[in-house]
Amino acid sequence: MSPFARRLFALPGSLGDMATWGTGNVFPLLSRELTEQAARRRTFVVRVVYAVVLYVVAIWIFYNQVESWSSRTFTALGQGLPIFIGLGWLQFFGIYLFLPPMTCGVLTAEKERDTLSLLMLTRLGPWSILIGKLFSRMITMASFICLSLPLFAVAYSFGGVEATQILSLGWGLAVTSLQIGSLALACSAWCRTTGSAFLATYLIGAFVIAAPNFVTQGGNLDHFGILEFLAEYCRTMGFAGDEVTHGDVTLVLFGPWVCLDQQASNRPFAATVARTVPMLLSAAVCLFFARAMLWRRAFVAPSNVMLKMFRSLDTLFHRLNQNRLTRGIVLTREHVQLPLYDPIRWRETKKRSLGTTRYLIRLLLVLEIPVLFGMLIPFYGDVTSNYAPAFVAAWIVWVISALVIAIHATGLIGLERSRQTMDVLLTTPLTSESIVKEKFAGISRMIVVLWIPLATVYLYQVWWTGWVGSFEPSEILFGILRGLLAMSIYPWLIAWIGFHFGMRCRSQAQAVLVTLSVLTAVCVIPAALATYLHSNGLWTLGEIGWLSPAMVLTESTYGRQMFLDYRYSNNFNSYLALRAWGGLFCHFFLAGLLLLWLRLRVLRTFAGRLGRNDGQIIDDDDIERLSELRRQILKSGIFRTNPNDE
Amino acid sequence: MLAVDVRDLRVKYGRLEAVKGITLEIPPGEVFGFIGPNGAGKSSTIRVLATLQPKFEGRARIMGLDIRSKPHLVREKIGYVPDFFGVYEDLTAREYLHFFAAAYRLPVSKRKGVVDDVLQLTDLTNKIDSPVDSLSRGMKQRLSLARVLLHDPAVLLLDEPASGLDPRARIEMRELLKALKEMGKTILISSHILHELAQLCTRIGIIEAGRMVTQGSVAEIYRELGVLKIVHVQVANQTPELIASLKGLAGITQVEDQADRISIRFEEGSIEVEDIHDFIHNQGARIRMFQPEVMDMETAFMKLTEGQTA
Repeated sequence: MSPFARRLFALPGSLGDMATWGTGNVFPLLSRELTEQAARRRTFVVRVVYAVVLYVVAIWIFYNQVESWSSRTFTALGQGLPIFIGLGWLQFFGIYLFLPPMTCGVLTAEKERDTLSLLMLTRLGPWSILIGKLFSRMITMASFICLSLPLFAVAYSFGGVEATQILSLGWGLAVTSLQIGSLALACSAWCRTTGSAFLATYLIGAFVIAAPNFVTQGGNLDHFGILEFLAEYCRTMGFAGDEVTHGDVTLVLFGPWVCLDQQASNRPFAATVARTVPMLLSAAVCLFFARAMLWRRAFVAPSNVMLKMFRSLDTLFHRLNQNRLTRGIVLTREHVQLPLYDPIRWRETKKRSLGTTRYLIRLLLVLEIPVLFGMLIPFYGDVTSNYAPAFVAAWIVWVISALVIAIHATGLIGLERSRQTMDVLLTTPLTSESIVKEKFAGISRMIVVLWIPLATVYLYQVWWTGWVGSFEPSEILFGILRGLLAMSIYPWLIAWIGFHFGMRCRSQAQAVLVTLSVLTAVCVIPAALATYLHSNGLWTLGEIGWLSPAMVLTESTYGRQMFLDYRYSNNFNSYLALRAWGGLFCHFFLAGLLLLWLRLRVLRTFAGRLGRNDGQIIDDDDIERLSELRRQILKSGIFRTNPNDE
Repeated sequence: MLAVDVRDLRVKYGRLEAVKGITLEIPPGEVFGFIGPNGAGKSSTIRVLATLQPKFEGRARIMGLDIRSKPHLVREKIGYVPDFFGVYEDLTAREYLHFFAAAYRLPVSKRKGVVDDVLQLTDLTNKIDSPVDSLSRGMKQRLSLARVLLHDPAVLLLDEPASGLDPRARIEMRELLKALKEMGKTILISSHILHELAQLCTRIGIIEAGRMVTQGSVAEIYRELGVLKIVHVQVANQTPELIASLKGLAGITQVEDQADRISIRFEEGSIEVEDIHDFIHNQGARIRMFQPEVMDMETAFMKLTEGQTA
């Protein structure tokens, strides 16, 4: 075994002493991390939020379940399993949602603070550091999961839940925590910043867990026989019993598959443990990767990933352009001039990667080409479907647009802070309002570019609906108006929300996280409430669904029902038509008001949030004094001036 | 009119009172050194003057302009250099300076000349087209100074400009500040490099735990503290009479006859070093070594402060 491999596999020498000395002696880092987390206000706030969300959703599950039982009390007996499974899903969802943000910063934060080198100088071994960091977050996550114990007790009291199922769920949750925690730790060891580690954890996690199932269409596609080979291997090794299918194999890394599938109640605990072997292996791979990268990437220099990506795209496009046909023709050549009057606007539009024309064209091509290809897909499928193509395309384009805008908007202040350039900018005579407005120049250009794929999607949607639905004018008008209003209001609303949180949060990663959480909440909560109210026949209250942009933008079940009702009513003045048009205008009226209010609030609070003393409003006397000051500066004669100037 | 006029300044961060009633009066053209341990309130005071601290009590004025009510006018009068190197990685030195020239609304036709001048002053002309990110720490700090000179401010607020610089860069920075002093700029500078401040500053203020412990010229502070100075002397023909006569000299507080030298201690201002030299020479002693100890600002600092923070 090579020295590197020996170091890689060497476990902490004092592991065996843990029982004798206590955790603090063997894993002092774990002890410190737990103490730090316990002293943080944020830990308690997150725990309370987790508990509130958990109990609200759990009560909803309980209510729905109890309501479905008949009035006779005895029918409830033995019916605890659906509640148990619902709560189990909730816990897995909690791990997937909360553990990555908690863990992805454990090493990157040390890198950002330049304290990882101090850890390296101590006698702590790499495994002690990794295990200390990982367990500190897993223990916190376990404390979150323990909040649900009373709920599980209630579910258990109804009966129908076997002891082995409880054990299996506990084991599944523990292994999932280990798996997700290890992945986040590996990303933290590799990345330089917490933001990039956060994104990497979610992207890699989503890809590894969901991609096999998605690519093989739930196990139906098995061109190379890989799935059959894996299924046979699982059967032979006894990992999953004889019932394992191709679809199962694609989900071996997905926690709920371990203990919440339909056969879970009949499976012994040992078989459940066997099913988690792939997850444990994936966790081990992540841990060894983290170990290998811990020192190698400890002093990696900060780099602008976006800039690097665009530069490599530059090289690629340049190569593609050098062919017999185009012969290196350049359509738009950018001449970077020095700033004249609006320096921040100049930098945002001429120097920052996402603001310059050629990068915006790249962005357009990267978005527009897949959208255009996506438009062709329905022609190969069911052409009688009214909504499927627009539904998928609109979602994808809006999600990408929201992500790009949110990241860019939060970085307007976040990056100035992290590069420590904000104070310098604030001591210039530029007014706070002009700083904010000029900062938005780059985003405005980007939004105009994003309009093109969005407009493509909406025009296509209108055309498709009209084509399938015989071109009903009012419906086409409805679709066009909806698209225009959405494109006019939402991108700026997302940008101002991002900018607002960029000002408030200490880091860009935190601001991005908060912005995306708010956007998700705004989309999901009214939609979920509306669905629930409609299912209970509360139609008037169910109009709250119009508050959700997701409901307005895409055709969900509720939205489809609403629009279909309107379409088939074939009467513009009917109640359903009025409801659809009214809902649309009310939604965008409120969104517009929110946009104006948020913009005004940001402009007013900008100076205060960033610690700038803006004093009193400039009056005419002040303007005169400012002009006089400038004249004095120019006359001062300290600096040589060009006699040819002015 | 005072260049910097601060009266009973108080700054609070929540419950913590970082600055507890500081009073400063700096006339135009003076270089005022602000000394204090970490957390003493130096940066908070400078941030108030740089219009970066909206909430404070007391009065603060720059060139007669009230910071609370006229911050926009104050910004035209000041140049602020923070204790870190905030740079835009996507700009060259030329673009960086033109960016701030535009921010300070310098007429377009004058900018090139002004940028060339400040680059020449800070000895960065040959780096004009280098990316800012590629410059060394010392160069970045000089570029920061070039930036604040663009609009020819009357008052420069420098928050530990020499921190983290190597000895050569520190010397270059000191020489640059001397040049600015000769140009008549009023400079408020905070630093931990105490003896450098002693060479540069016309007056010094020592701050601790948010309070100004003392302020005045370097000599005044030594006198106020009664800090002893030392001269180490070696003579070829040392006699007990020489030691006795030195002990009897007015102003001398202590004479130690050590193995290889005589250590003479005296109070600042009570006798000049040259007079001691002349006295020993007149006693007929042949002087082999005469070494006055470097002015000991550290001693003064340690004597005045106890390392408390606000």
